[in-house]
Amino acid sequence: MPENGEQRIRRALEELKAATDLILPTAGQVWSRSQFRLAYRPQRNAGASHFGMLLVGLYVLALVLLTTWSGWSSIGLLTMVAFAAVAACVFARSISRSFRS
Amino acid sequence: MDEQAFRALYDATAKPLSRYILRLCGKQDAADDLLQECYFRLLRNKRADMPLADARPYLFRIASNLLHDRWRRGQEFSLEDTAEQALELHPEKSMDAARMLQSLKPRARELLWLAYVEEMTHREIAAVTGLNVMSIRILLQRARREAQVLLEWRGTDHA
Repeated sequence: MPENGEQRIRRALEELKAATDLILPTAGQVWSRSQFRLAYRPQRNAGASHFGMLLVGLYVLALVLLTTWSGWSSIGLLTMVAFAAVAACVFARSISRSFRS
Repeated sequence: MDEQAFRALYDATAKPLSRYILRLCGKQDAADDLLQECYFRLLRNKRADMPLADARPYLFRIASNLLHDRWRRGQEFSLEDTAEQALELHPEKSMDAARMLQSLKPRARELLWLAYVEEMTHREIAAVTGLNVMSIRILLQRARREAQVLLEWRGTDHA
């Protein structure tokens, strides 16, 4: 009985499957490569970057308030410097993580 | 997931997945990279503990997405590597099938392989490709028609 089109496709693909000579890496190789990549992949510090942006925003706001209102005391200036220092620390940590990964 | 569990998952899924990738992309080195990437993504997404029945279509889905990324970048199917292997084994028919796959569009190639070699249902193919079942039915019908024409044409060509 002659085979129909569908049977012909199936047979051709099954023959192709049988003729495919596979050279597979071992499970151990795939595992160790994946573990290496998982350990050294770049970390996404989304939380840290949002926190850093928030600090920068607050710093700019404080700067605007300080320059537009003359009634600020030295406490205001110290607060600004503290903000700037924290923002710089967060930024520096974020950069060092990026370089390490 | 520990290494022992990964080994069991790999042993159960690597052969069909590798064959699928190799036959769809046509290059052994690219297929090796894609296979590694599939398991890396499975582990990265912390989905490796899922049951085998779910892990298999999930891995095929990752492979399909990676293959589509390659095709989008213009890295099309090439017969050069796989043709050599097939010629060594000398099955003329499989060369016909390899050329038939090469002549088809990537989507048709993918659907035919999943339907006929992996024997997946339309629903499973839909889960792998991200298409809906109705589209699978139509696209598979079209792919079947195109493959049939190509195989008939190659048959008369060889005769």
